[in-house]
Amino acid sequence: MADLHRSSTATPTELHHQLPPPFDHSQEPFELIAQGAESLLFRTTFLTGSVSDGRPAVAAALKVRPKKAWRHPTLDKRLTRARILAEARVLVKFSGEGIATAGSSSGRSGKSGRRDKVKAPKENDGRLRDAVPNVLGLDWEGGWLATEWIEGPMVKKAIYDYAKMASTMSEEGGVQNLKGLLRRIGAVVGRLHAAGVVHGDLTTSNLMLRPHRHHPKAVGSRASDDDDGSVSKVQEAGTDNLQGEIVLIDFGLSSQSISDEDRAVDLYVLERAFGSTHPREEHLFPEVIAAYQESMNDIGPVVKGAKLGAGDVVVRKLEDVRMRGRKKSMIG
Amino acid sequence: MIMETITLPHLHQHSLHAILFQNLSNASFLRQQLLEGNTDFEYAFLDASVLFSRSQVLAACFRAINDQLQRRMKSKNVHSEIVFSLSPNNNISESFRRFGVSETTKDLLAIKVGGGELGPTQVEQHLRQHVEGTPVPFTDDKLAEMRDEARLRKVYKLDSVDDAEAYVLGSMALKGS
Amino acid sequence: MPIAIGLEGSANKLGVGIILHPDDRQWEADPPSPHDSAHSDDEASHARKSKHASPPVQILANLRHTFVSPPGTGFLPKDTAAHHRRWVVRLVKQAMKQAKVRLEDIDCICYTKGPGMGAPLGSVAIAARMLSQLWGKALVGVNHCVGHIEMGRAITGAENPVVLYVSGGNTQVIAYSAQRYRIFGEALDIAVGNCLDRFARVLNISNDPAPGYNIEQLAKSGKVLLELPYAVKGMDVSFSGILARVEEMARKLEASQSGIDGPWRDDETGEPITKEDLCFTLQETVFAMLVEITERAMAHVGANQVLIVGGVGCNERLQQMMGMMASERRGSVYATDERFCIDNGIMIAHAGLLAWKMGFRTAIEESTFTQRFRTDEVLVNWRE
Repeated sequence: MADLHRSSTATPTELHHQLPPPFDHSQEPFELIAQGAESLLFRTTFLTGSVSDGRPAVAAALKVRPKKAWRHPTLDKRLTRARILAEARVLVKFSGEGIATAGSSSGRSGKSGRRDKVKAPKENDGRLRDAVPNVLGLDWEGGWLATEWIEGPMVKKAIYDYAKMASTMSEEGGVQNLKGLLRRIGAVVGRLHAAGVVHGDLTTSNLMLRPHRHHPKAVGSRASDDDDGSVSKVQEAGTDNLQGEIVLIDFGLSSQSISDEDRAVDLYVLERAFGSTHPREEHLFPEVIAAYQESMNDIGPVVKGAKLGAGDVVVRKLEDVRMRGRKKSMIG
Repeated sequence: MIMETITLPHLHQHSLHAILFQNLSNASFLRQQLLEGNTDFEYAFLDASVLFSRSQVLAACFRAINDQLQRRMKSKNVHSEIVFSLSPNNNISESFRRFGVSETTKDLLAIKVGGGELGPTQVEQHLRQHVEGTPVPFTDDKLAEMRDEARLRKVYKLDSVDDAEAYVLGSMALKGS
Repeated sequence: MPIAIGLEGSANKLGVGIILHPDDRQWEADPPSPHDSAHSDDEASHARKSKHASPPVQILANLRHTFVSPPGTGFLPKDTAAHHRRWVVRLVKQAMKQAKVRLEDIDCICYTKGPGMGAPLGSVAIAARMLSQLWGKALVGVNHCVGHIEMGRAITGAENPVVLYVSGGNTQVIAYSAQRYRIFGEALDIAVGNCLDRFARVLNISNDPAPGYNIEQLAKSGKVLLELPYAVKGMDVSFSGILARVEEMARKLEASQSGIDGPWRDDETGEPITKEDLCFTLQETVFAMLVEITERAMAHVGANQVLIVGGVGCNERLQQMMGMMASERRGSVYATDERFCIDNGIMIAHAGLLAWKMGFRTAIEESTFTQRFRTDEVLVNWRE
């Protein structure tokens, strides 16, 4: 979030007509980060750090879902509402992991004597808390959701950068780092599924790679901290830009589900998106599946009969989903 | 100046005036003014024992002002709406009981949205004249000293208050939807 | 100048087309007039005039005969295959006559290898083999989907569009990359056209000229948007849940019209729900899903042109919605009329001839057909 106030931002007049109230009359800087199919992602400030406040700027992500004129207004409103709320609910659920009483599995009645037979899903170990951004505010009527700003590049960009580097550098170390990244992706998706959520739109654009925080800072690190740029230059020159923790974003199509079919489709969507975005790295995608399988076997719910782990079951199902896609007859 | 004037990003026309008071001694007088609808006391009086952080308070202010601008407030004015916005549920009278000033309030955060015709100096004078307590800086550290962890856990349904700010902000944002 | 005859019969339409590809040199010297069957906004004609556009193709004949089943029924493979066998010779003769070409002018016999219904595909493959033997011409097996895409590009002049291919058997969002038409999104269960056709059966909507066409006409006077499931997963969609729900609604409507409880009324307005409302609801919902995944694919690959092909692509409401989406992205939509978006022989002749010019031939012993044939299996070596 360096140089928030000085980074090149579109002029307010260009952007303000795309922004819902109250942002349409804002004096804060907005930087358009991404223009997806259904939303515009801006970097701006939220809650603290107004330009006129003199306090250090704290970056926030503002996701705006503009009205779609081509869609029936009733349907448009319904979908905008559903997606903002689906996203916020998942993010809030995870931010309360290990903290919140409501919805936690600690609410189970103490009477159950079957505990030792059933391996409880460790959904409250809090490990997903850092794997998603925090919600700061929302307004589904206005079509916006504000979240914490996630540092670091999209995984898509990190892999593109790797591909550029790999063509000029010695291969082996790089491939290991890429495999490591893919394994971390598989593991985090496994944790997500084990916690009873499917993402619905897994792509390498919806995964961020947040640099490891060497010195944990208080919430709201300052914009001026890395002003001289020396830190980022050192990272640039390093051999491994694929380090960091995976942060999942864009939960608008997510749903609460423990169905193996839904989980398998979630992986299938990622597999296809990965193949079309990174065709040269596609052969390494099995790393994602392998790490997913281990992660789900480890922390997912125990399957009756217990010869197979939860991850094994989903990966088998994935095979069915793939066949259905590729070998589907035309008749339907 | 003891009073802090805060500009919320994106709401520069609705600046907030805030003073945090320690060791309040006239809680019942202040509560009475609100109950009687005394128009000289258009403030959000928040019980500091259930406050986590500045961000939590600012999030409640943002939501209240935005809901006022969008004409969908659930309570009668923006100040009562701030109190209501702190609550994780839709029960208005419960939110006043839990987050507003009560007979037992020991520490108080007073917030006024916009100055109206009054400038910051007059707002500060009025508050210092009528609120009997020691003004202290409105900081996360001060709030941490004042909070009652058991009450916080109860009102926000928490097992632990450590690292709970994000969950609290999220619950506030999701309320009513 | 190469000429091909194309035979299509993957579903209930039998199509025979004859196409001519002018030489590239001649094209540079003599730019064509825009083809009358394209309809799109201004950019289409620009694209056609640009240097990189393919030479215009000449359609010498494009005939079709459709097997229409009675209302409430779908077309069965056996009956459809019999229909194609009955008509194929007549259609070929008529096309040759109309095209005014001699046997020796024809360079190859193109036929639909798949995907599609087995029995009708078989009828047409046999006809193609017979012509190949009889006339001594090379066979070219063609992927039906690639046929749609190439014909759509040729007619509209869209250079590198994201393609939405929507028909009774297919729902795919496709973009070209490295000599393949890659499938970015698709229906995970039934095709959108199949969903519409099956819904039409429950309401006894006529199959003449096509169930989808009749749904479109009814939807024009629909007003109430009822709530259906909406199933978008990444760039994929699913229609089976929607079909189940809308079939349920159709039965509820029929029961309420004949039953004692009186009509089914809209909660908000109190107006009785009609057949038209159900058609409107279904179209608005499934088309919104299609436009959404197309937009996602466009954002994904950074394209702003979109081409709609396949039978459902004739639907003007779908074209309108797609056009609004594309113009929001400062792009444009390209679509063709029913001569080309509905299954036809000319698209098979066209795509087959493109492959033939690259040296592709299908030996007689390999001239099979297949119900399953992925769009991305075809090497599109005629494109850069």
